[in-house]
Amino acid sequence: MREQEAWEEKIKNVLDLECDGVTASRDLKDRIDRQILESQKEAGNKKKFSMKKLVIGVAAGCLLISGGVFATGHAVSLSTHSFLPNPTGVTVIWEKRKGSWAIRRIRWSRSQTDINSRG
Amino acid sequence: MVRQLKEGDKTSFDLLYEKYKNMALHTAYLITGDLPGSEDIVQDTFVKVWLHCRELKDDGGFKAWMMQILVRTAYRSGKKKSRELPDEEIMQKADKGQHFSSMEQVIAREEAERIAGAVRALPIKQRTVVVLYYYQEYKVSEIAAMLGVMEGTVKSRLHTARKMLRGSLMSEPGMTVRELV
Repeated sequence: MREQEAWEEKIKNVLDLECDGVTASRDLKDRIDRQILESQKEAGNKKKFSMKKLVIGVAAGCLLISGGVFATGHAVSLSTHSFLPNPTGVTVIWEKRKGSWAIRRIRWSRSQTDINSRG
Repeated sequence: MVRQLKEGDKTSFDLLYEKYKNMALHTAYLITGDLPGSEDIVQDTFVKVWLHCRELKDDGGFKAWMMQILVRTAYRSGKKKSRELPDEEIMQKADKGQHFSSMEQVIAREEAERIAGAVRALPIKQRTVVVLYYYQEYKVSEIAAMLGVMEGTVKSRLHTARKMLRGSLMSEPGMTVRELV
């Protein structure tokens, strides 16, 4: 045990000896101060850049959303206010009458609407 | 002082630098074995301390927190760099041993150089633990927290380091520093 302690004490002394005379150079502090200034400038620039990115992102988002809304409105108006040409002139729809479903045929003509219903 | 540092007081930073600069440099030097590289590590450490000091929760744990940054930076740097010392540095170290007066001093000096060489030859993981345990006199639990490993890992690294040191010193008795490094 004592031998172990003596051995460990030796290691400690040797490490102390290794660092004997090792001191920080005079310009180390200047280098640190310079790097801190640069890092702070960089951080400031990054902040500015990220703010720019945020503003551009929000603007782009707004444009996309408004474009999307406009396009959706247009599509809805197209689907509700238009129909494909029907060469038969008859439209068939299902209709509930008196508790049961029935087919209803609607014949379209240029001047009038002729409705034939069944069931 | 740490509280003032967290508020952005540069004078407190300067005072803390003066207080810890040599301790930090010695630790980095012992881990990497490269003096100019150690100054770079100390520089990086203090810059990180200034930039991230607000993240420190416990003001009393400043030294341990700073050491954690230093050791991790040194560890990463040491892993990259070769363990070989520049020739001039070896010569400087060898020349230190020229100023002795008696035979006992010569023997003691040679033994110290052998141990130093053996420590320098340790792999970085073991060397870091040896430096923190023997030079900085940290507890195993503190070293584990610093390195972000389990206490058992630190104990195992210490055990391996001791074994390697003994092994390297016993296998090469009477070797001079120039032969060892």
